[in-house]
Amino acid sequence: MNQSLSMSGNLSKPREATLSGVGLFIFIELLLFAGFFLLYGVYRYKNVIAFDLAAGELSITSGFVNTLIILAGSLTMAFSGVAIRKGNKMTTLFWLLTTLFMGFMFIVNRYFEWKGRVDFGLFPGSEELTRLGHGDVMFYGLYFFMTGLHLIHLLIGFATLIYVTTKVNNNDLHKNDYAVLDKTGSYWHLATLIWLLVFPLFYLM
Amino acid sequence: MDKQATVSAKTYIWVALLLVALTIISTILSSLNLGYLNDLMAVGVAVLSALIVLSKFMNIKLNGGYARLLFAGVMAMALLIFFVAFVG
Repeated sequence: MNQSLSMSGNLSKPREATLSGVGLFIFIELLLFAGFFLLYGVYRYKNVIAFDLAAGELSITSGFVNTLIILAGSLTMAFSGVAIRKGNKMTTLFWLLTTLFMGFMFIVNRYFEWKGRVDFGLFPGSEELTRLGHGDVMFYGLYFFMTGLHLIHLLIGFATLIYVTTKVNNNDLHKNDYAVLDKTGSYWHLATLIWLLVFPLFYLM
Repeated sequence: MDKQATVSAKTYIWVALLLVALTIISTILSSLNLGYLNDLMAVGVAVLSALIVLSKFMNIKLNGGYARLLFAGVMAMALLIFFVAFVG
């Protein structure tokens, strides 16, 4: 099914209209994060050296591994869509569970990365961060807020994915009715898309 | 027509490999000292990767009014970020 961001609804095609709603939601989400990217740009401009030094404290390897994990998750999510269209329930379940595993791995990696920052006292409100100065406060504030907001999206996707997996297992979703799986897939891919934009801001620049 | 049904698993693998390659390129480029080009290329590759996810994985057409607005908005934001942060 081809999703469109166009809002020209067609009542004779309820499935199309539903997915246009998902398109609008994705549009709003992207604009929300675009605002944060702009905010990051402005604060970076005002604190170039502090942002450069603070970014150097983050592990590129950790960010890179998380990027590979989330891309693998999107691939397995796409595979589940292919499998359900072919009417292969077990393969669909396998790929959905693999996607959940990938999501879990991302969350575990995020936990250890955050824990590393917190152990060094580099978290919003900490004395260590205040001592380092305004630029570091802004960098780590944005880092925790944006990666946290992304994590919330991933957790919502994770919960929705569990719901979809049970629906597939109970034969409520199948070859002739898979719109919910498609919509969940779009949301999951949105989390990937957002991460691909967040990753360079904090790890590569 | 159900267009997404025609997308094969093989196509998705190639798309994922392309995204991994872009991530590797972006990471390698960030280790080189290219001045302001480092940031420009990091953002450029990220936007390209995001557009690939949008069009291939999410199968969202970039020909609707909202999509054009979004594309223009993201481009304007990217330009604004670049000029405010690195040129101004």
